[in-house]
Amino acid sequence: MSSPPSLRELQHAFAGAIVDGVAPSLEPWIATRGIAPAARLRIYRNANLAIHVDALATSFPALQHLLGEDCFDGLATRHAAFRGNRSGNLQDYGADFAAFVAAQPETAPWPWLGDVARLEWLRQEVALAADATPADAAALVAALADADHPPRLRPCVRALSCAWAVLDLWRCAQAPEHDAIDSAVPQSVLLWREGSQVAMRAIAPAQAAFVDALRHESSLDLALAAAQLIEAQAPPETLLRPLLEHALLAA
Amino acid sequence: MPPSRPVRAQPIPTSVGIGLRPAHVAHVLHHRPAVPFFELHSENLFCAGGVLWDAFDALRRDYPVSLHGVGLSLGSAEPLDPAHLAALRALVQRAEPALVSEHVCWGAIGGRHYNDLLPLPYTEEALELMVARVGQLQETLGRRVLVENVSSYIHFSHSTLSEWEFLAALAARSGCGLLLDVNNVYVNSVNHGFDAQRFIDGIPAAAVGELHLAGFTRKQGLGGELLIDSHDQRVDAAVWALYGYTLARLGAKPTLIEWDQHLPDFAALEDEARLATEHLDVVAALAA
Repeated sequence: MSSPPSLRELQHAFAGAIVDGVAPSLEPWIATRGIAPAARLRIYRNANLAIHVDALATSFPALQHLLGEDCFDGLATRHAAFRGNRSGNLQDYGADFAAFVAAQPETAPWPWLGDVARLEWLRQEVALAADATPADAAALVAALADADHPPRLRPCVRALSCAWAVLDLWRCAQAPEHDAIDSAVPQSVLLWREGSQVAMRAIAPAQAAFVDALRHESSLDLALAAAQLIEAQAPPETLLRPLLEHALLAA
Repeated sequence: MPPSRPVRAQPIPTSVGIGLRPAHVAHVLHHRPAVPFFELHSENLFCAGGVLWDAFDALRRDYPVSLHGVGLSLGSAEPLDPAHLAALRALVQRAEPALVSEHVCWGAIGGRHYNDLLPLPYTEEALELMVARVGQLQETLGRRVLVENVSSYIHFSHSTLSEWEFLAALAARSGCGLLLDVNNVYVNSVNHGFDAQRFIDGIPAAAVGELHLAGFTRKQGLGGELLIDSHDQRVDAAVWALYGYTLARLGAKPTLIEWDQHLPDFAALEDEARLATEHLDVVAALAA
């Protein structure tokens, strides 16, 4: 028998067993006690898949509902096996799942599924974002007048623009008795946290572009320009309205 | 970051706490059960804010809290993930837990995380690496940590130390404490064919800062007996017996009931905690 594996060799071989299901170089170093080494390794492989499929099911419940459990499990298992997680924190797992879902051949008949997954990932970001006190009226007036210190969004604010009726589709997954919807209607969505809940509403595409620009710390002028690329005459007060209505600017 | 909390960390009492999972948070905050302490998974609080932090802040005012990490991969042959370590440091500074613990295992290699508690070989090489990593962790956090023995379904035949020798040496060389999971000791004793009491006898009592109890599942159809550390049912009678032996051997220690899968009503966890308290009371009576 050759010399035992180093710790690094052992761990790479073990990882191979988890991902590919085989670890020929490792098996001679696993005590048997009536159970084949391959069967022992399979326990870890199965656990790994279950952990990651469960994590995706927790983060993407609407997608699971729309796809059906079997189809969702198939996609999630494939993602877990071939992509895996790059973080020791399971909360981080799934950031690339929307793109993965959109690229799979079996989801081609439903091209909006990737956008539903994007919306669900944003919902998770909103739920876990930092807290911040909303700006009061005086602070808002000052920020809107100060080009050097543009208004900041509360960290829990996100916006999404889609070519599909993503908000209606998400709501349909929550309440299947919902009236039939036209999935081909483009929809933009504003997301934020209200108390312990994630809130969402439809907004205009220009408003979504404005929110997204502010979220990436653009000045008010640049955010306005981003919005007016989509709607040339979009007035600033219209762009700001949803943020003011829901107190989404930070102190 | 929120302002500093109004109270500093309350110490973990020598009594029986419960591992708090998100599904039970609302019940606990509403009913404020008489639980001596709660333990939360560190990674659940790696987020910047939101409902979990709101709950933690509310909990922290009334209960001692310990944080139990599951994702640092202390025993990986590759360096610790600096982002994970920094997040843990920030969490510990913000949360001021009474205890911080992690696991004697690995979970990442080649930049990929398996988010599982994978077994180490009990070799000098692995021990040296664990001593260095625990030292790095304790230096980063500026405090002593506890490390927990894990259940395993594989024993590496080139191990040169027993698991208990490995743990005792790790505690002695790194200065860390031990979180002794009695269920994991029992599970491994069956899976790898050693005497569970001999394991307990090999653990230095002074190093043990906490005990864990949980339920296991019997895996059938593999050709041999195998127990899975499933955390999905009540503590087995054999584990209660080993817990009694452990308390007699090591003295009374803070103990935690863990239940992670197929979560029952909170009352079932309180019932398990009551049984563990009865064991602790026996030890206290004998010591009096």
